[in-house]
Amino acid sequence: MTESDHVCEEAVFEGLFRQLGQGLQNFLYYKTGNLKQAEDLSQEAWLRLWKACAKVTPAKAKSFLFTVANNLFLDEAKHRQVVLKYAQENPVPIAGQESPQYQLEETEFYQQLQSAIGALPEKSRVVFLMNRIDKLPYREIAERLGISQKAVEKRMSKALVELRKLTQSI
Amino acid sequence: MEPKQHPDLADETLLARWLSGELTEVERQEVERHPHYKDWVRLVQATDQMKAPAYASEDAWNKLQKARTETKKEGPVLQLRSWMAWAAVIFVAALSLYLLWPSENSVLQTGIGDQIVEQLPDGSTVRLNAESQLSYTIKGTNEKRLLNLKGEAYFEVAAGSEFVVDTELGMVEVLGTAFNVFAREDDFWVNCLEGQVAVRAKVDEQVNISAGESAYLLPNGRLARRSNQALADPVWWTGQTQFKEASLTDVLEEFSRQYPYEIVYDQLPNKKYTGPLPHNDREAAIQLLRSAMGLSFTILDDKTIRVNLGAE
Repeated sequence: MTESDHVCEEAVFEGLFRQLGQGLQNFLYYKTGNLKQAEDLSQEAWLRLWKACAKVTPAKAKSFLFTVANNLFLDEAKHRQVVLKYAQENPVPIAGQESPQYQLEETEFYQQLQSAIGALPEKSRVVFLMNRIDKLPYREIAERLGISQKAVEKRMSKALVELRKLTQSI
Repeated sequence: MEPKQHPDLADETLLARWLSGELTEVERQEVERHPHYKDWVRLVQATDQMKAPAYASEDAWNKLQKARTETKKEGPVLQLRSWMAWAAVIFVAALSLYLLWPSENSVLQTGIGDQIVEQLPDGSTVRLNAESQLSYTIKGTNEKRLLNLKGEAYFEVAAGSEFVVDTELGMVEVLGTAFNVFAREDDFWVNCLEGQVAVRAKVDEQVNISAGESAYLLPNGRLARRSNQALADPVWWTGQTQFKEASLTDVLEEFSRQYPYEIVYDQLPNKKYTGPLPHNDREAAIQLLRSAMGLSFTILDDKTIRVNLGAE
């Protein structure tokens, strides 16, 4: 390994940050449902990477970051109840043809959906939101979480089945 | 191990592959004819519009830069001149090194086909199987030893205080000396080779197993205990994995951890495999599965092997 492709190298470190910064913070947000906490934990994970930069190759940096972030989350949030709130770009479909009744139903549906997502098992929720919100392909999610693509697909499917149950039962 | 199934969908990855547009025509029809299809479409459309909180990359980067410089500054900023002050600084530095250094999280990691043996700071030995990761904070034998495992590992524990292996699926607390832990995806099992271990799944339930016994996670989240010397004797570090009545999916998944190939197939026979899977001889491994299970293997490229029913 040459010095130039080392994580301690400023350009490499910054490159990794630009590439993975948002994804890591979102990942923690999906876990915790708390933006402040997600910011703090992801900053801490980056600091850990930087401190350990001599021992981590750029190829391993991704799994290092997500593993450390997960450990930090486990340390901190052991028994905390997750309450998630997701900002929606467009919570109600474009007004116009739709009747007020329909719009009201849609708004209610989105509220149900939000609490249903919060009630999903954590592992399914994180995978599901990494795909639906961050638009990451399953392979990339698998790589970040250190699990197989098949496991990602199972969690995705399970999330959809569970969400349906949760939104129907409300 | 029994695969978990959703009550209404036989294939646990079907909906995920529907979402990513990877279904065959037949599968697509199955999804579209399903009574819940409309609900799924609605959920997908709704979640498509969701966004994570805004992320300001520049701000986050600047904040991190600041934190990094502050971390750097944390060194000896004391400006003391007498030798006593220096001695004090050195003592404090040595003390914090002693206190902080070992509590730094250590990580062991293996890739496909790798295995490592490592001695932990407390004198315990761990063998890590392929595609596994172990992180731990161990100061010595007198303090609680906590380890975190993804994958499969065999432990021989030095006498001392609590030794706990945590996984995503369950927890193993050592009351004795030697045990194997397998924790991958949805599968979790523990074999005890010597002494006694306590196994806890995420539901509050503890199962104590002794030498020759194993505990494994059932699809309903509970733990079962089995007494079976053959099963309780994992010999994967001798260069092969020994399977007993294992499903073909489990065998092929282990193959992919020992050899750098992704295995693709349309259908597998519903048979159980009992026998070895050698780790260092791909052809021998294929030959064994071919003759025992009546499968044919085609190497498609340097990353993929296709498995079909029936001999070539």
